[in-house]
Amino acid sequence: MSVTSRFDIFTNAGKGNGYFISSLLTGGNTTTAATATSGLLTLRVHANSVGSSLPGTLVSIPKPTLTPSELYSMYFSAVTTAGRGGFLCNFYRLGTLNMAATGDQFTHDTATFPLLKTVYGQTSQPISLIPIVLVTTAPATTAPAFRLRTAAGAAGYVNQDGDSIVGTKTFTMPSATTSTQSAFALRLENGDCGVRDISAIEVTTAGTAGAGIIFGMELLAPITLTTAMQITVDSMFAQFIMSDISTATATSGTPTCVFGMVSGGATGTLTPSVIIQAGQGI
Amino acid sequence: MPVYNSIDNQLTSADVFGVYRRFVSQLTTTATTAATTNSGYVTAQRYPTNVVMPSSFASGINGVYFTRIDMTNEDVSTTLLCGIEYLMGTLTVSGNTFSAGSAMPTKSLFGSSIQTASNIAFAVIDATLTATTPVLTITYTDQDGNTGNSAQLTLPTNSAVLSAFLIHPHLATGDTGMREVTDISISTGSAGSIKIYGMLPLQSKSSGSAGVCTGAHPSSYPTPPWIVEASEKLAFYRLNGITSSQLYAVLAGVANYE
Repeated sequence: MSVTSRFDIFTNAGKGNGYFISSLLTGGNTTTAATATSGLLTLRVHANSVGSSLPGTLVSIPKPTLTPSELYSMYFSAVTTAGRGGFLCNFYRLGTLNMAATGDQFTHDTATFPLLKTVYGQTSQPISLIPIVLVTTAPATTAPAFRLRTAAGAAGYVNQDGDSIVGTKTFTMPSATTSTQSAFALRLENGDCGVRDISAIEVTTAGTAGAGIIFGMELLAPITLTTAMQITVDSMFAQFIMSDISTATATSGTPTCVFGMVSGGATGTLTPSVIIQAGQGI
Repeated sequence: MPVYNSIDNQLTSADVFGVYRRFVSQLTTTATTAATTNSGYVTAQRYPTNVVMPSSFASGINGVYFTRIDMTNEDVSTTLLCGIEYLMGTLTVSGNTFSAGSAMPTKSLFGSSIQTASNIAFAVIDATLTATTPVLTITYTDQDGNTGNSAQLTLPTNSAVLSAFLIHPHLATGDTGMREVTDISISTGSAGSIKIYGMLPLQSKSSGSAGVCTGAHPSSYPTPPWIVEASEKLAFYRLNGITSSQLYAVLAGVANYE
């Protein structure tokens, strides 16, 4: 990054080396509240309303194809149809989870993790993600339960530091009929705050139905969502949080990334509108 | 003196030259056509009338810096966008005829002259198309001056007048803007016309409740502080909606005498 002041970012954006977008995001149906064994915070994933087909087909807010770590948010605005907290977010798809059978039920996408970005000046550094499950097929009969390990007891995830971890904590869906579009943070071991990768999930209790997508979230900018007021996160002056909104590269292959928003705190539907402007650090 | 450099400069300018004000009320009278992932990813419509700046200003003034732009309409969950708009090219579908527009201008920013490129650009249906899923190809010079790049959008069948389709998601890999449009063509169709507009955005606002007009203003936004020069045109877009819509806008600015 060769810029010497934030005005260089403005100038780059003015020259067309930047990004300006507004998008209406997906709303969805009423979801199921999280519990102590399902992440505690009730989450909702919001993708681009154009092209997405809930619950499982999520289309990204479009953003330019650029070298990672070269697109810095200048501001981010949002307003919704219900008050909530949220984050602008890159959702990286790790794979899918079948909750209708016991045993090893996680299928990893073809891209190889960890994902890489320039971190604090060092190129190609692994980044840590917050893992969530998005319910795409509602469970039935029994609330599914699972943990981040193989059925044979081998490691299920790589934590934020690069250590392979055998998950011991059991995540239990809050209800036998957890609604589709419900999203929950996965349970990590004490001391862990994120994952570089997930390799296995053992379903210990299966429903007669149930499936989900496992995403890793890269949180980019926090925002308070209100119904009446457009709230703006000034990334350059009021809050110096020039988030790199570019998409990380995979160790090999191409990760599926949905640039969107995560909201939290309630089960009711809401539909955010967002505006984002960014400039390149070139 | 770049008037945006300080609040004191703006107050001084307002005291010496007064405040430049414009009031806008305009309507899209018919429904427009929603975008798809092949035609912009963002549903948009363009209000039909530009606000045109005066052809000249008082001696010493080289433009207006809009410190405040308020926009509102009747919608929930739509975004209103105001920016300086440049017509970069026109396609007449019958005959597949391209007419060149203007290149994006050079403008002064922080005391330096820069070559701008579209910060956001739309293909706007100027007359309703008679065309079944036509592929629109736009050939352009990119933000860095590379020529001959192209963007392709597959437009919805018979897209309605004033529908606006965002071009940037379909630019060539690595591109983030267009300096100039050098050709436009369409794969099929018998009627209608399409205009390509490049914009330098000034202000955008979203509403969570009907009629609510909120948001920070240009003077307090971390965004390029554009000076709107004589004869330049401001345009208004509504994003995320297709129904007919009424826009109300109030603009206030101060003279820049850089």
